[in-house]
Amino acid sequence: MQALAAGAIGLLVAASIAVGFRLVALHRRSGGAPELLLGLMLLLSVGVAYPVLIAADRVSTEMLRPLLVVSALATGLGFSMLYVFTWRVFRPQATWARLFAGAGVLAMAASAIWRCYTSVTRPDPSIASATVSESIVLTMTVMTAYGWTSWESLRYHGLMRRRVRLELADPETTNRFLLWGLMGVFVNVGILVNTIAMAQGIRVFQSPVILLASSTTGLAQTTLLVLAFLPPRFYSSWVRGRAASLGA
Amino acid sequence: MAESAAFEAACTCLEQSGSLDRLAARGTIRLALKQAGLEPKTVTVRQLDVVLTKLLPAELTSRGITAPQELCARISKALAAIDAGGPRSADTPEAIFARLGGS
Repeated sequence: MQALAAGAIGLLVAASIAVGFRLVALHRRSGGAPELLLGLMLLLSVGVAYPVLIAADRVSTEMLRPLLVVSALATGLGFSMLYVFTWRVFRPQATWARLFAGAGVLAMAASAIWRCYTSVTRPDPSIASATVSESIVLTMTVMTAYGWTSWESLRYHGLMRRRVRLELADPETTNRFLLWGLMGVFVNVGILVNTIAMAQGIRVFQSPVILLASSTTGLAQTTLLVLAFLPPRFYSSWVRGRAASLGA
Repeated sequence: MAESAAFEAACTCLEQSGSLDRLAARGTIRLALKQAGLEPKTVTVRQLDVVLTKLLPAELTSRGITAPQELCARISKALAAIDAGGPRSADTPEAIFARLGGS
């Protein structure tokens, strides 16, 4: 079961790095901010922070401190970008969305600075020594970022479906809103399962049920991410064919 | 944020036709836009033109307006004269997500 979980995390990291680099390269051609924000978010929060955290579990205390600092900075910067991405893409004119994104960025920055500080000063800097309140603040801030982007994307998917029926929208782009929205849902389910398990004192790396749940959500995230932003030709054809057969 | 220029122009034209008062005209077009998955703040002339052809005639008929097609054609002509305004197409969520997936 641990091998399955490791494989699922490995695939998610690899897919996030591939999609992240593709989006950053797209930004260099288009100059668009959303591709840069999403690309860097994937590279930092999954491509850097996940492997560094996994490595941190296997090194000495001297090595552990700098790794935790890198992980805290990558997580803080990465998820801040997710807040800004959601605001810029879905609600660029709304004052409440600008304030909400700003609050998210501040919360991520405060959490990152605090985690850097404790990683350097705490006698036992390991992740397990983090207080409950520290974990809750970080978890809630990340879940809110994914929950917001997911809600906006699924809401927009509903609008786009109606446009497709009038031939006012592209079926593949419409499907991409659904995939990104579902990706956010699976991330939050994964976080929630692990958080509840840890709160109940379950050792998540030892529990087959938790490992299976984490692997399932991880594989789902990988699949949705690749289909959304690196879609294979057969999938694009299937989406267009399905829309055509439904009379779009 | 104000409604788009296309939406405002269509509402004004419908109201000036004398068929509906201001509130009813705006409500009727809002309902047609909702059916199409469009929003008054961001709807463009092109999108509104499709709504005028495919959805608005039925909405007008349900409000007892005779010859809705002619009225929609008049609104469409009024729309052609205005500057589309609204957000640039590259900034809409639709345009951004199309770019992100390479479609």
